[in-house]
Order: sequence, then C-alpha cells, then structure tokens
Amino acid sequence: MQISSQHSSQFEEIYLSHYARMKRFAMEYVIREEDAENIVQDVFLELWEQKLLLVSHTYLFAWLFTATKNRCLDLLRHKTVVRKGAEKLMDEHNIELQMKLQSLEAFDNKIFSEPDIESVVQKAIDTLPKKCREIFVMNKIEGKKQKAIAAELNISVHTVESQMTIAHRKLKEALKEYIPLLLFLLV
Amino acid sequence: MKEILTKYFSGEINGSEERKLFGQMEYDESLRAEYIRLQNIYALTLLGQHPSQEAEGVKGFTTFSQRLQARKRQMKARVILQYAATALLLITSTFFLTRALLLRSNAAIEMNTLYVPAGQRAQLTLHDGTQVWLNAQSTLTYPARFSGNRREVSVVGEAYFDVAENRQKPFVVTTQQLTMEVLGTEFNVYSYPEAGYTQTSLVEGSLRVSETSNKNKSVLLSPYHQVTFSDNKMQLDKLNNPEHLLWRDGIYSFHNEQLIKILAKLELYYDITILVEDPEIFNIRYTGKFRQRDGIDEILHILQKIQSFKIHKDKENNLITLSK
Repeated sequence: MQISSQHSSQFEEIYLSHYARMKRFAMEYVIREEDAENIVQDVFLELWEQKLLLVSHTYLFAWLFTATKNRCLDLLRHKTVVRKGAEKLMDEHNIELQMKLQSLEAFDNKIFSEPDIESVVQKAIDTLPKKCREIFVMNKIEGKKQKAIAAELNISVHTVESQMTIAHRKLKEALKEYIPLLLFLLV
Repeated sequence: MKEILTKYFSGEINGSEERKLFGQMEYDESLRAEYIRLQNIYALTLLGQHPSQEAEGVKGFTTFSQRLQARKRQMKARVILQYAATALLLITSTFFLTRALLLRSNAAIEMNTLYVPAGQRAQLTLHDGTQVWLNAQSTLTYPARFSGNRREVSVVGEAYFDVAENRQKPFVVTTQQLTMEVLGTEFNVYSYPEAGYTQTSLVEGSLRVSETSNKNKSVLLSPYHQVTFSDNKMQLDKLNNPEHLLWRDGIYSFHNEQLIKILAKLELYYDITILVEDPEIFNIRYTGKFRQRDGIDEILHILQKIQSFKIHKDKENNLITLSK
C-alpha cells in the first residue's frame, strides 16, 4: 500500500484546515475535550484510509462533519443508556447529555452539504459589531472564559456578559432559518 | 430562564442555576425546544474557519501522526486469536475416547486439554477429586484418569489447585520452568509465558518445588510462602499478597503494585493490547481490587482517578493507547 507524498501533503492541508472546528463542534455536544479529540482523530484516521481526497471541497466538508456528528451520536447514545435497576431520578449530568443528544439528533445533516454554509456562517458572525464579534470569537471559537476575556481586553466582566447576550440575539436572528423552531418535538 | 440559558451557552452557569435549569426542562417542553434550537445555532457558528485555530490543528496533527505510526506497528505485530462468542470452555481430546476405553491402563492415556479464553475463568474437578481453578488465557493438560503411581498434569497460565489427598500417589504439576510435587494441599501456580517469571504460592499443606529442567534443584515450601523463579533462580519468600488468590472468585487484587505492571496483567486477563505512550507516569503504586466482570473500560476509568491519563480505543485492532 503505497502512500504518495502528494496524498500526505493534501491530507495534512485538509487536516489543518478542519481539525479545530470539528473538535469545537464535537465539544458542543460531547462536552469533554478528550472525547471530542478522540472522535475527531478517529474521523481523520478513517479519512486517511478512505483516500477521499479527490473530491470537491463541499463533499469533503460534509463528509468530515457528518462523520463527526455520527460518532458524537454514538458516544452520547452509549452514555445515556439507562441501565437496568438504575435510579429513576437521573442526575443533571445525565439530563444534560440527553439534551445534547436530542439537540444533535435534531441537527439536520443537510446543513453540512449546503454549498455556501461556511460563508453563511462567516457572514452571520460578521454582522456582529466589531467588539462584540471579537468577544464572541474568543468565547465560542477559542474557548476562553468570560473572566479571561475581560482581563485580556481590559474591560469588565459585565461588559463581556452583555456583549455575549447581544451576540446570541443577533446570531439567533441571522441563522434561525437553518435551525427552525421545533413546534412538535420528535418522540 | 432566558438569561440562565444564555449563561449556560456561554459556559458561565453555576451549579445551582444549572440544577434549576435542568429541573425546569424536565417538564417544560418549550424550554427544551428552545435549548435544542440554541444549542444547534451555536454549534452552527463553529463551522467557519478562524486563523486562531491553526496552532490547534498543528498540535492535533502531531498526535495524529503518532497514532497512525502506532497503529501501523500494532497491525504488524498482532496475532489474531479467534474465539466463539458463546463458548466458555474449549475442551479437546487428543486421543479418541473409544480407543482409550478399549485399551487398559498400560496403553497410551488420553490427555485432555482445557483452554480458558481471555476474560473468563473455569473450575473443574479431576478424576481423583482434585479441584482446579483456571484463570484467563490458561491451559490445563490432564488425563481423564490417573493411572500409575503418580498423578501428573501440566499448566500454562495460572491455576489454583486443591489437591485430593493420596499418600500413595503424589500429584505433580509441570509448568515450563517449575514443577510442583504434592501429596495433598492447596496452592496457586502462576506461569504465563509473557510474564517473564513463574510463581508458586502455597496456602495449605506442603509442596516440593523444583526446576523443570533440573529436578535436583528444589525447595520445600511451607504454608503462606511462595517461590518465584526468574533470571534462572528460585527465590523463597513469605506470601506477599494472599488476596491475589481471590482471582478464583473473579476478583483481581493488587497490593502495592506498579500501575504499569497492573496494566500488563490486564492485558493478559482481557486479551487486549495496551500501548503506553508515556510509561513514566505509570510508576505509581496501587493497592486495590477489581471485579473481572467489570470489564477493561470500567477498570481503566477507576485507575484514571489515581493517575490521570488519556485513553484512546482502537476497536478494530483491539488496541488501547494510554498517554499523558
């Protein structure tokens, strides 16, 4: 099984461009960074073996994120299986995992295949006022806590909080058509 | 509630607020719907690329390359063992039973082989009433009937014997390095080829332990003592971990044992390969017990509480990688 050097450098490019956002996406649902890392590494191992590189960017993007989503679903399902004789009263960690699972199940795969989804998302973030955007990126994309952001930008935690509230409101507005309000919950 | 939800998705929620939130979500359907919607919107915002993420990608790629190399190495070294999913014991007869029944004791005695797969254990009673317990990945070779003036069996792996007393016929257990001779007694023998040493522990009675390759070198064991054979010599000690013998009840007990050695034993008991990337963090010693039926995942999670490490499972290749 000869791996061409072209294959490896192409692969590395794709890896570097997608790894971090796949991991952050996974962390939204599986919570633990370690679990998210393992999932994303496994997806890339699968990609390496499949040699799926001679395809369009859109296809690759959809493949990577769908694979990530599916592995997250597997993990969450495994963790939320109610064992025989378990207490009826579940602790809130379990309820949280259940909610994450339900959310991910409701996340439509078609979104990953939307040809311009990346620019749609980027545009939505760009609609935020400059400071607000900066704070949002630091919190959600870079994973920094509000206290750390306040310290780094030399502003109050209260300011960070209110900017995040604005960010949430504006992003909800910009992206709501992609994530419709569920009027009837799927059982 | 809206503010609490926002707090939650900013990662700034505290314990009591979280309890309140999930408490209300249990019966508030619209709150749950709002959670799901917000969760997915925020996850969506993570799909775009950001320059600040490049460093993370580089770090991840280094780890990825290491895992890829490890996997390639592992695939070359692996020996594939197949087990029937439902079979607990595999008993094979190397000679035809009918032939043995026709021929009397002077003829070839048929030897039975009992093999216990990984993750299992077995107990059987021999023709003379001797009881034997076999641990995971162990083999006992024994005759259907003991004839002649000795009772002879051989062991690979770990076995515990409660030997029926018979002063006329000594019971002899042969392993690769040590041979044990008893009249009537209870003892444990540990002789896995991968372990690098053989150990016999005596519980009750008296036991003569000699080197299989040189019967002149022998030691007489008294109760609650053990002989360890490694580096070509026998060492006599007091029994240092009598609770180890609980393996017969499906309990693995370790006494002040280095984690790295515990991991090696777990590899044997569960037929899995554990690859340790940072062995220096596993020098810590541990005293405790695990149940065999807990399974390898549960046991590793318990060990994580004493020494923090990361677990990566490669199900296809039956490999677990542990790292800092």
